[in-house]
Amino acid sequence: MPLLVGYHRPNTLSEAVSLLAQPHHVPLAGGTVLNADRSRSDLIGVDLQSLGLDSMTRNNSHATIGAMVRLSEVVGAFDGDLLSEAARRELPSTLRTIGTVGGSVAVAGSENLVVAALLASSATVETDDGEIRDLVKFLSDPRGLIVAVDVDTSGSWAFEHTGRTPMDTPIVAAMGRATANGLIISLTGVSSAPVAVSSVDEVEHIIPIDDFRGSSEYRHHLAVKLSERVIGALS
Amino acid sequence: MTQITLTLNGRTVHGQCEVHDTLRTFLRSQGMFSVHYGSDSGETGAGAVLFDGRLASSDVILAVQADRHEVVTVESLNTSAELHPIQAAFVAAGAFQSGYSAGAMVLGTLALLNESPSPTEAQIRDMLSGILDRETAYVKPVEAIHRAAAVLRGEETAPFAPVILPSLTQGGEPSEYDPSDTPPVAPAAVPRVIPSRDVPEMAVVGKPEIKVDAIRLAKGNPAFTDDIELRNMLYAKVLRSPHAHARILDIDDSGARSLPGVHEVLHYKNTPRVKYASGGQSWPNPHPHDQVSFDNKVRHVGDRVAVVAAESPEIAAHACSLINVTYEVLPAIFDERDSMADGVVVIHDESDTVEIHDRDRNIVHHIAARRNDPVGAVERAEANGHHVFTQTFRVHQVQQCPIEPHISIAWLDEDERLVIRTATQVPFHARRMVAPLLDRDIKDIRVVKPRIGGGFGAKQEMLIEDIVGHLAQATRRPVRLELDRSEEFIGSRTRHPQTLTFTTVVDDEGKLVSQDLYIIGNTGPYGTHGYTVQTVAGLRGLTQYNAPNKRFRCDVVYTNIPVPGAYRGYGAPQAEFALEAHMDDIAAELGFDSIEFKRKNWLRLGDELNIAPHLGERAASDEELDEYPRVLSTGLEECVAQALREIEWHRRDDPEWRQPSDRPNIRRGLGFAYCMHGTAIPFLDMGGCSIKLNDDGSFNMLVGATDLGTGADTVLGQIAAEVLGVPLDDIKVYSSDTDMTPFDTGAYASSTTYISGTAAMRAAEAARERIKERAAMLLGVEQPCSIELRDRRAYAPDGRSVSMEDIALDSLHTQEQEQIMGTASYVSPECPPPFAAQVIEIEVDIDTGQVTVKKMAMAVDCGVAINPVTASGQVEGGMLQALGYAHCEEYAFDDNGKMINDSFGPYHIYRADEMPETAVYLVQTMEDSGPFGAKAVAEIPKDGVAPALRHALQNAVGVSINEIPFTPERVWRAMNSSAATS
Repeated sequence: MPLLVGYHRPNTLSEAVSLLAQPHHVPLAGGTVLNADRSRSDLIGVDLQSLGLDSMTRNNSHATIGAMVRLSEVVGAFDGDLLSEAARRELPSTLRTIGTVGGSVAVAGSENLVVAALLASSATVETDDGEIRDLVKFLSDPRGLIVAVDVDTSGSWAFEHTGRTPMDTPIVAAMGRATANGLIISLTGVSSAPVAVSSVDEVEHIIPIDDFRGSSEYRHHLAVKLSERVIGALS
Repeated sequence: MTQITLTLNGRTVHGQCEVHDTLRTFLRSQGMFSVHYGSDSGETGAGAVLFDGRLASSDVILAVQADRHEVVTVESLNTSAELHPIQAAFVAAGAFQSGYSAGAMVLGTLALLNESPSPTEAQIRDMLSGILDRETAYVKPVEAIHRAAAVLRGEETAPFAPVILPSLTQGGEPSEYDPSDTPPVAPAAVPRVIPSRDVPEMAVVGKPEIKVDAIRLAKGNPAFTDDIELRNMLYAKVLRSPHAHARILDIDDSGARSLPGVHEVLHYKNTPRVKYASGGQSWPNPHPHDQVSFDNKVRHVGDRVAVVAAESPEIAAHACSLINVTYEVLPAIFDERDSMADGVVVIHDESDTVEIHDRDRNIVHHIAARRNDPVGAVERAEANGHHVFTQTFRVHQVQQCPIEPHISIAWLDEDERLVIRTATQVPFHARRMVAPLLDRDIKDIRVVKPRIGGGFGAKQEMLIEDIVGHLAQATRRPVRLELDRSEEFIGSRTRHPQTLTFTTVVDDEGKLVSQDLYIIGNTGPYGTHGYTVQTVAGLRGLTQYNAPNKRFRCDVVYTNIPVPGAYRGYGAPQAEFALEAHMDDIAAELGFDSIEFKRKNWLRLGDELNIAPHLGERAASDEELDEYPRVLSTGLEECVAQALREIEWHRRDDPEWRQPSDRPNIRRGLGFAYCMHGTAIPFLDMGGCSIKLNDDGSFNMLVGATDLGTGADTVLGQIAAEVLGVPLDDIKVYSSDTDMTPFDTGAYASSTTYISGTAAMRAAEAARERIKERAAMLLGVEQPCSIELRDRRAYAPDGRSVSMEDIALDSLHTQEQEQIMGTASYVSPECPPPFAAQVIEIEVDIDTGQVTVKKMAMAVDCGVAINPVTASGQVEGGMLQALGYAHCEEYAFDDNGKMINDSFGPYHIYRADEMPETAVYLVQTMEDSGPFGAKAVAEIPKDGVAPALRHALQNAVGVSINEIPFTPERVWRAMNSSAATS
């Protein structure tokens, strides 16, 4: 943990926003990332647990997921859907009961499967100021405190991934959801954050990151191959 | 400090905490010692609790976040002496080894069964996905949860016991493989035992007895090093090097010393320079002694620079950041193949390290051993029509990954002797080795080894005991040092990387004429176990096949990687990967079936171990040898037969199975490896034991052997119980404490059952003789030798008997009083090899190179398994670690030698929800030199997975890869390369 020097647990959104406007104040959602960091800090945590952001609503084709909904709840609530599969794979049992949807979006690491699943599900992000933006836009310009995420859960989906072992964080993963509005593919492991694409042609033009688990060349190969599989499964 | 209130195990608790305190820290301050540290990021699950009813890692929840929440720990179940049904199921199934994560597993089961009374296997494995287990391979925990669910549903469960199977072979001869013979159906957790007619039926030995430490583990009772509270404890933190190789020009510790709460700062400028070698080995430790507690040079990223003792871990860490170190950064070298080049880098240029073989070329040791004329065999090969094969293999660096990291606590006792409570495999070595560093006599040091949360060799080292010793002496206060997970990776010990080159000469009949092995062994910046591990690699690489000519050469070299040391298998996994792969490739080249080719050459009953005496610290020359040791027991053919049936070996040649029509991108393959290991180090490993009789007819047994979770205490107790004719529950085992228990070299080299077990047997026999004397006196029998002990009684030949309690009361209180006790120690002249057959089934995605391991089975001849449940647990856990070695675990570094994956996840170890199916067969043989016929079992499961996986890859996709691990990109590139050249 980053040796927080202060802690607040506000009861209202406005109180939280006001605290977060102050220097060194950071949002504390579940804590799987922030509390795991052992570096010394001057940070003051603003715990979001009492803001009532932990509810979910679903209708036939859409769902609104509060920012503080735990990934374990996503697994249960979206059983059989891409969101459930991504949340189950994102964190093991003892951490997905702590990690939140909002925290995933806020951090949005290269390999985050939940964010990729949200991208494939045409997610929009609602922030404290009431603004609703596409997740793609939010990721490129993250502003505001995430309040909820809205997703399209209609249509069919596919998920392909390659890792060292079956439950390893994928080196590259491709997910897709085909709805009445078309097909969206998302990829992890190719950029600093998950990306959304609409065709294999777009994937071909990606120059992926590289690390010890996979070179850029190999990740490019995987991105193309897994995207083709996703499209094949959904066509 | 912040005030919090939470509901803990059903009661309201008010407490104070720092804002940054984790829930784990808070719970332990409340006496909840079942909540253990595995890492700061929570992925080990050792600190998992029920948080508002959900299983959650308390490492990443702040205590302040838990305010007004409900927390449950396993202590909530400990309302009576009885075990909760879930705890009882875990105990019955042998699901705990070290038990370090027992609390988390039990609580996870509780939550799961509350939600799903009849969970699927997938649900169980998903629940366990967040609790990393390096010991059981999750096999028995899964079985325990199934059984607990059944009990809680009110169903009857059969006792957990082995399945007894008939033999498939006769007289050690190979059997004809029968494709129609299907494998036996039994739960994966149940060991399949193939009894030998040479082994008599026994009362306690060979039975699946409950572990003697089961209660404390199941209940999460304070049993581990960290589970004590000492007044005025200080916390230590090590400042580690950011450079792979640098000279320390100066250290300014004034900033750290001025920080409130700091009590001591130690480094090279204020610590005596006493040379040592840290490997936990018998006296005298092999040279070179190339370490000091704190040096003016660092030789790897993570090397010690200084240490701080402070009032809290946070203050100590802050103080480390205030130490100003001036470095002169030096060139570094990481690959053993580059290290010997002239003038590259000299890693040990200090004058006080002696006995380095070639300092300027970083060669620590040059090892050479030979049998007959292997060079001539190569030279004459062409003339003789023989075939010569040379292949080079590379094996990489991995870590033992015990879930409990290294931890030591030291203090001065009431007599001002130094007590070190430490997670060690070698308490007696640690005491002897630390003494000169602390300028103390051995008699003024007491090392206590409590329950250990796994070691696997990492703790066969005097790693941090000197640090806490120095600090306790300097501050005169108790000092605790626990490594975090990153430090465990970069600052403890690892497996040696090696480059191995085999040259083998084979005749037209497929018989080996000669075998030559040259190894470049990478010992990192310090020698520690470098010499011995490479020697064992040579031993294992050149012993398991017959060849009249053999040669071993090895250069052990320094580099600037994190320090390799002992790791379960100890050189054998490296050598056997290369050896078996080499043999597979020779067989393919010569057109032999791989198993048949190996069978032509593998060791049989009576064959000589013909390189063994020439290797090791006490190697013998030809002239010194009367005869070579021989194989006196082997069940190898039975192992092969059982393993091939289990994996349905005929599918290997079935094209429809190998290329499933409904999954065009998948290819399947089966692989096999033959394994042979050793049992202890002859003439070196030694164990002691003492047993005394108590008033009620029970016994206290003191052993120096160190149970790492392997079940050693249980096995030793079973051996004594069998001798004394009492149930295991009447033997109270205590290990190990250098003040209290007899000497033992420690838990390594697959020695505990064989060496310490023989000591236990002999101590029990000595006690038994006195008991018989007393019984004869009480029964009026003239011949004490005619007395028989069984069922807690001593029987005369005419059937009259006296209870053990009556004998005890008489001997302690009534007439000619004496304390009946037996003491014994044992060192073996033998090293009987266990044998095994390892098989594996895989799928390969030919588009991506991803390898999925579907099944592993191992059939092991470990002599007589004293406890088949704990023995099979050893095999399961060993295979899991071996699978990680072969498949996914690896150290990754940046260009400057900094490890970039020093946490779980990036360094991936197998989880419960991705484990392949496993099966374990225990093939009994009678090894007359072992206690009740036992040989070793703990290390051989590490030897066969990598070569079997390579063999399966050849079967599936036709590629031969000479480097591990078999990661997706490596396999993909090999397939591409193969396609390009074919």
